[in-house]
Amino acid sequence: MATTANAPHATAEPTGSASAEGKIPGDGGVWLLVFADLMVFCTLFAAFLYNRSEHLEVFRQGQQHLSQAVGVFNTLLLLTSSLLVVGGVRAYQCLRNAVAQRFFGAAFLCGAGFAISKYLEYSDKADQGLGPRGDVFFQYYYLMTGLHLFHLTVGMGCLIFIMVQVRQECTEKRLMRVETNATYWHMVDLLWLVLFALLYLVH
Amino acid sequence: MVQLLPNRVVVVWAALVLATVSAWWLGAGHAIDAVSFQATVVLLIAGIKVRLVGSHFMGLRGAPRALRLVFDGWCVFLVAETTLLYLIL
Repeated sequence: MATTANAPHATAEPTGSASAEGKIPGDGGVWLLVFADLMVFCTLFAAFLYNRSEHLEVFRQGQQHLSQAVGVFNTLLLLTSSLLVVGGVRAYQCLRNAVAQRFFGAAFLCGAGFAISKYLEYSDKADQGLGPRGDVFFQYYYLMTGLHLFHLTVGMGCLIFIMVQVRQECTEKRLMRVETNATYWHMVDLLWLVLFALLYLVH
Repeated sequence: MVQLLPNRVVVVWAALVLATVSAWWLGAGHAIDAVSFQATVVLLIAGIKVRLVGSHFMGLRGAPRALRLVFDGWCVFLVAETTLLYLIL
């Protein structure tokens, strides 16, 4: 049974399309985007694993050039950024705009840290002559991490949009926009969790 | 006063950090000899992490059952796809 979405109030309740059985976080459309993106990446994962089986030694040697410590650091950055986004959304739901801004600002910094780290990683690889035109492992490495980096950049735009929203009074519409963009950011984190495992850890 | 970072969410974050470090430890070749077993566990851990992010960070816990099921189904598909392709190919 459809009900109208709840107005923002001092307790942290999610909005979104409400029904008797639960509320979709943010706009329903972003979830279609999320699942479409997840399936695109699933196809890439399958292609990666297929090519790995065809060129096992190349992939194993290529992985030796990747720093697991850097991968872990990047993963922790994105996990923390997602945690901060959760706090920011809840703060905005509770009408604590200034606190929400700080949470989202901190999440943005985590994202920027990831981007800088990736740039340094790419530079280091380039210095070693391991660019995107290299062997099949590095072709996949740059394809997958590059596509993820593109998503992260879009996600940082979402965070900026969110920070503009949370400067203003919390209305139903604004909260929906914030939750929708937050969902996109969490997807960026989620994709990296799998990329990190496949590229850095699975031998 | 509402907790902006509820204990549940912080515990999940801590579990994700622990899972990340565990997978890294496994991936670095400690204790377990069988590379395939390592890799399978690493992929399983990744699937669990993804599920945790979806449930607790993306707000799916309070979402309609259909959406939760689609997401959970995708998590299972992801783990099955990656582990099977890794093991079989």
